Amino acid sequence: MGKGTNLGEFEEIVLLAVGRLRGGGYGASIHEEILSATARDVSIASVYVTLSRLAEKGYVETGVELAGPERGGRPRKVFALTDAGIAELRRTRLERARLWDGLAFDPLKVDER
Amino acid sequence: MSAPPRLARRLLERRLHGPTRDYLLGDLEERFHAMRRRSALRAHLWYWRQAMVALVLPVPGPADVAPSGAVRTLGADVRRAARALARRPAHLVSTVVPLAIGIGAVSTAFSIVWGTVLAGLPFDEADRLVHFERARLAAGETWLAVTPHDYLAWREAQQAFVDLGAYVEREIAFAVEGAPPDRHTGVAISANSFDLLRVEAALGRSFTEAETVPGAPPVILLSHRLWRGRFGADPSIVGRDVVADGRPHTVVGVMPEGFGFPIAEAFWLPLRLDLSTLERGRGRLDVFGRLRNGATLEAARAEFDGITEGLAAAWPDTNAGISALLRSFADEYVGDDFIRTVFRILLGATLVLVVCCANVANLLLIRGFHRRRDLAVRRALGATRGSIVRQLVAESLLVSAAAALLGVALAFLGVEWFNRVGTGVGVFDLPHGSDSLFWWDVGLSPETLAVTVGVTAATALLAGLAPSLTVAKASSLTRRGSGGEGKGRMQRGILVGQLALTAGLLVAAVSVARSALNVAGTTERLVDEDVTVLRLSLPSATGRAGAYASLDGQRRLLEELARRLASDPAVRAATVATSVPLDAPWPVPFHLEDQPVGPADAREVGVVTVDAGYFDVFDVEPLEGRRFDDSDRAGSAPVALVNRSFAERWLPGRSPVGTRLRLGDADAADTDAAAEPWVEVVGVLPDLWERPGDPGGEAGVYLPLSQVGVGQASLRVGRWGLAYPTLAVRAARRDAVDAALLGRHVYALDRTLPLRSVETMTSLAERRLGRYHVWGRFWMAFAATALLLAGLGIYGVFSFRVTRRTSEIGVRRALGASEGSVQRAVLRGALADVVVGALAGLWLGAVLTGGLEQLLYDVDARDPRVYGAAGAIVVAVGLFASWWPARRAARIDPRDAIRAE
Repeated sequence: MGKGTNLGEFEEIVLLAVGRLRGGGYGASIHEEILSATARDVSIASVYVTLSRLAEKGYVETGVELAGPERGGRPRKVFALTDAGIAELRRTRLERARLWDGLAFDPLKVDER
Repeated sequence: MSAPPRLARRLLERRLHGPTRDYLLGDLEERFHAMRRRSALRAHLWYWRQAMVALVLPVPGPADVAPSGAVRTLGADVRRAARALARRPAHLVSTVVPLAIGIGAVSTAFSIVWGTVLAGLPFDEADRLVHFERARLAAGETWLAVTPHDYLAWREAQQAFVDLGAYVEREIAFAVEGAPPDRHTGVAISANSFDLLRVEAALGRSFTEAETVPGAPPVILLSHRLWRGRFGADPSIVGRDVVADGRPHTVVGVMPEGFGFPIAEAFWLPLRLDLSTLERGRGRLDVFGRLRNGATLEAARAEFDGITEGLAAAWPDTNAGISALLRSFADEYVGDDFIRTVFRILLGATLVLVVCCANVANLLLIRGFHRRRDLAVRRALGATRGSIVRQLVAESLLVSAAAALLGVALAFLGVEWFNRVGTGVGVFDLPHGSDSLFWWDVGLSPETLAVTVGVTAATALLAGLAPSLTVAKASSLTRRGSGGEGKGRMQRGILVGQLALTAGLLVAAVSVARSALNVAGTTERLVDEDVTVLRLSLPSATGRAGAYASLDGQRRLLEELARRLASDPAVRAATVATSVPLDAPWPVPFHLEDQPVGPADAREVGVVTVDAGYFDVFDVEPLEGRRFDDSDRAGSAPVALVNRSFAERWLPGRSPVGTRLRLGDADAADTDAAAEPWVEVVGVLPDLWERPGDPGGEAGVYLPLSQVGVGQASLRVGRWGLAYPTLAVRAARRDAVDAALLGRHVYALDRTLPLRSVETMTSLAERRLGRYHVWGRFWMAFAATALLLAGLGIYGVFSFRVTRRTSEIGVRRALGASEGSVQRAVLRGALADVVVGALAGLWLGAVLTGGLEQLLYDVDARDPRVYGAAGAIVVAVGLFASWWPARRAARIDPRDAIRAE
């Protein structure tokens, strides 16, 4: 997925999780965020793969924090949205919103099955 | 259970690099602890699942020290390929098995070529060893032994070689209590030979020059085999005396295991040349030398041309017209015919592999078509054409690797089989009459395994690359419709090529099969379990100067032995002969009384000397005329029998009885042609296959044993044939005669007489004719494999074609085409490919059979019937294999076809 193309679904999810964590996003917290919001138990390794792609595109920036015994004293790599990342999320949301408009059914109504 | 699973963590620590390792392990541990609070088991399972994903994903990191891009993508390609293959086990089997057969065939054939021809002698710089013979080229004689006088003169004059060594065959016998002596063959060899070979004794030492002086005390050097077999591997044997031929010999050493120079010798004696008692031009030696560093064989040949010319000028009586023939030592003993035969086998195996590759390539093309959509999606998602080709090649590499493992296992079985049937029976028609050579070692060596690896890599490329490229090209979404046509052409091309190779292999196989049938038909009556052949060696009984030195002495002994054997109740008939059927008797020039011939018109015939019992033992009656009987004596008129081939070839259209012929070389220097007696033909025998493998030269002449020595030719046949005589015995009942019984009779007559061999005609036939059957089986296996694969290939390709044309055929059917016409159309398409392939293959077959003369008995390599049969088989299999796709096409329901669209 080269630069300039649209966000993939998983990319979008990871990027949203990073945004919701407001600068406190790292592998474990992003995993927890996605799990609680979507009930998807994603692989942390694939989160890293996606984050590195997002960093290449300039949508996230990174830093390193030292950490305590809860993670064996291993440092954590933290991620935060960049302006470009925020703009891309907005653009994606707008695009979806336009498509959602004018659907023949009510998108928020739960299936009566 | 408070910490994350240790093994999973270890694996991750090994797999990951740089800071990312710490970040990821930290994250996993943090989440693990959080989850453990709810369920320790679930936390563990969770950790393992996370670890597994992390192990296969290419986890990056900005500051990572990760494997290089190429390695990383290769790993990813291989993993992706493995997953793709595992999803379709049937496809995996249908590609791995044919390739394994091909790789196994090539590895087996190469092991044989390597072990017998390419590896050479197991000595340091053995390719510099050269064998010498003398030739009288003007007379077409190229097999003359070297005389001791010439050997010493050559050794003196030459510069190109480090030195020249010489040897001559010898046999010795060890006395055994109550049974004939135990006989072994070896050579008397010059003392410098072991230095020239760069081999040292394993125990003790080899010979000194002093031991080669005539009259020195007898010494002997033992082979490892003899030392172990006869002397119980006694380590203190060196320096002790062993009694051989009734005389004590001091053992000076034991040679290393596996050493049997020059053929497969059991012992070595010092070569003692005494020129003072030897007439110039007499005596025979085999000579070899080691080329000096920097000297070439060509330069050595030029040097020897000069030396032999000088000798011819100095000794015109004995050396006029004599030149030296120099050949690589190994080639001399292995022989051109054998080398040609095994290289043809390798070629055949390679063709089988190509057929296998073609099959797999077509399968991959078909599979590629079905995967088109999948690959097109990958390309749309950004995969480059290169990455798709890489994955496809990675798939074929994996398939080939699996095939190589299986192929090596097959080659192991093939080599085992070859060694079992091959080296025991006479698969090998070697120039020096041996069945095997000491340096031969057919097995899966590092060299053959290296070739297997190379062949596998080539196979992967051959079978995988071309389809990959086409599939990758066709996988772009935009060109989805256009890729099919080129692929169809490639498929057809591969199919036609495969059929051509199959037809070519079939031509060879049909020729060889016919030859084997001819051999079996011609020799049927000779394969007789009731006839036992006993061979003796008179010189080894008493040395050169015993009671058996004269022809008469030999004859009297043998006639007495035959008489005693015949009177044994277990024996129905016994005979003494210079050779038995399948033995290849001595070729002797001859001419007929009323057909004078010039010297250039050399006619030769195999001459056998037999006694009257021969006809009963081999159960033959003259077709015409009479047998030998008591009236044929030394003093009576010389008589002969001829066989049917002789009569048909040289006396067509008339009765040979009463014709007179004269044996012997009319213009040879050492015979006085006019002194040769005329011999009258008194009868005609059926052919007894006296000369195996030489249908043109099967003509035979039989002389009575009672007249042996009447005339030079008869003398020469008798001199060798009676010194190493053959007796044959027909048993009164099945299994009544065995080696022990024959041994008892020989021992009772003379305790010093060793048996050379005892075997039934059945086993003699197996040894002599084995090569037709063993090599024949190779070709038949090759052709059968190719035929099966070609059939499967045709089936696969036409099934695929029918599938692709489902809608078109459906439309035709809807428009009124009958089942028959659809079926015929498919078959017509197949027939065109099959016929083109078969025709091309017949040409290939002509090339292949050109090198198989050694295997062809009474089969013309250009026989149109062979080609017709091979072509017909290919066409029949082709039509058979395309029959089902054609039927399926005919049954396509137009509605289904349109629904599928």
